[in-house]
Amino acid sequence: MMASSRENRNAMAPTAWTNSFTAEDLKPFMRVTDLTFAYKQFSLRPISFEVPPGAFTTVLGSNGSGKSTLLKLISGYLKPRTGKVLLRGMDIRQMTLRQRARQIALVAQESQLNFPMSVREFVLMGCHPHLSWFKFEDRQSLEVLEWALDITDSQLLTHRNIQELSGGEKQRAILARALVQQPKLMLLDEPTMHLDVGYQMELVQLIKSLSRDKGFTVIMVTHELNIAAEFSDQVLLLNEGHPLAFGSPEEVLDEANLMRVFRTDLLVDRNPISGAPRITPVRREGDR
Amino acid sequence: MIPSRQRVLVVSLGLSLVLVLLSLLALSIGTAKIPAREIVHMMVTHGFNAQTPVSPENESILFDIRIPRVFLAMSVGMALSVAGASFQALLRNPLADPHVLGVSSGAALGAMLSIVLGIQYTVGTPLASFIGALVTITVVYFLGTHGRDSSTHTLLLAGIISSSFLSAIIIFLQTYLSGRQLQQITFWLLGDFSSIDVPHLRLIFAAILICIVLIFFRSGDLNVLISGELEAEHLGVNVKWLKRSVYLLAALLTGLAVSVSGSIGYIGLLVPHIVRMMFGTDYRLLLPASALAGASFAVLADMLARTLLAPAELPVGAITALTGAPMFIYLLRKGRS
Repeated sequence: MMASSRENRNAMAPTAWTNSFTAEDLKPFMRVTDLTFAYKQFSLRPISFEVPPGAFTTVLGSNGSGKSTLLKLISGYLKPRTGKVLLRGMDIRQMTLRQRARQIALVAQESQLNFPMSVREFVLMGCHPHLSWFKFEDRQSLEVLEWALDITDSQLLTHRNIQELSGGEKQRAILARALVQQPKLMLLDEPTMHLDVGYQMELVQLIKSLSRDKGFTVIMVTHELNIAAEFSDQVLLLNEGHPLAFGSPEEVLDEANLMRVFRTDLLVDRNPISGAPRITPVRREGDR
Repeated sequence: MIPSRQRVLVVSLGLSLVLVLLSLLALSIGTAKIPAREIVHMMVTHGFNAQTPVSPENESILFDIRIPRVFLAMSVGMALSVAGASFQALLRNPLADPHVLGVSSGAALGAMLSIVLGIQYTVGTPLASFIGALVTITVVYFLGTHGRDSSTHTLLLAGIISSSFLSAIIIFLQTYLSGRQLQQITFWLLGDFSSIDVPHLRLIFAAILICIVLIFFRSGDLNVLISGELEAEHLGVNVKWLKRSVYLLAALLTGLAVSVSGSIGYIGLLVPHIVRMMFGTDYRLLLPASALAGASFAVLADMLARTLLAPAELPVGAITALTGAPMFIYLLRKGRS
């Protein structure tokens, strides 16, 4: 029922930000070449991969394997030691912060907010990269705002204090803010953390369908192996700062790779409904 | 409510009206009562009128004592409110305030040292005061923010410790130099608006106004900074540059205010908070509204300080602390729940 109401709202979505692939876009949307990074004890080994436009890529790996760091390198927040991230042929570190913010949105791990602030004020922040110097939001950005609040089912929350929301409500508001940015690339750092399985599915399904409708590319860091298997076009598996495997979920998510990264026994078979790899943790023999 | 240019204009006009009415009241109340109509008449005719004024004594009281004093209260109220609102955004802490963070005490110590060392008053004292404020906020920032995400309470603790340390130095200097013509100790510790020097005041007012306008230009960026530095940068804000410039300007505002009025507390906490409750968190509205409401609040507090126990005069800092401290406790408890 909710999905159908969303489709209706989608029909009224603002026209400025629509799915429009051109020949230019068919070149790799993003190219990461020989990216390395080092900070204190931690280092990221050379990583290279390409992302076609509109693709849904997930980054998997154990805790501390460098997933969040990779995301911050891709967004241009961190300076790589070597290598480059090219977004539509442009080096990300050569762009101004504002240029970057108009193309890349980050849904960070739950942000800590000390300020009482309404959900509407929070989501409105997403307009910031599109505002010229000391301007107020124009009608077009307000339309995008309303649309983003609708599509994330946050309309009823707009006057609530963002600090008082539940995990799921807050995550929807954060997603709404990223949508208001009208990005070409959406980066998500464990967006499903703290959410129950219902909210997890709803959120990822929403992101997937929006990425198709609006033509944005998604790179998501997650610990949810089955969600990654179900939704991804491609998966990057990191193991202690090394890129272990990159490819389709079927290629990457096999028992050998996963057991090496997560150091536990896992069963990988096929989901009988979708045919995607299905990962089930298995208790060790000795424990039975 | 989504702020728009109209809304900022309407709120600013409304608050300006409140400020004008309060100022008229403050000008008329005192040991000698001057009716508001006479004040307006004198102000309109002042300067280009050959006729004898209605009452020469009243004219002298008005132009030599009350107008400069109200003007001083306005400037200081504006400066401290905007400085408070800025520190709150920079530190992402709604309890930040120049006084609570010890920045005012640092500024007071700087100003006092400049007088002790005999540096020229007009520029030397505000400059020394600014340096004192800047050094203090830098120290408190590093003491209070371990790692990336600073906890509210560590920062406040760092501010309170610095404040009491600096106050002790001020008291020590004061006792040591008690023979000289120095300001009363209450001036530096609590602050008041009773010492005024007109040409100097114009300079201070102009400088305060410039700082406020410059911070106002960054208000859109400050909005985004509230949600965190990582997020702000991903929304297109150059965080490093923003923080540096606004810290500098907020310290300058505190220094300027403290150099002419001593260290008046809680205005920077109270005013932005009330404005936030009434008009929301958007800094494009919060900053101009805080400046105007802060000016009104300081004029009101000074009026109370002059009249509550007349003919005795309370330091205005006592009035602001009496209203501000309970508010602070309320906010602290509310923030925890």
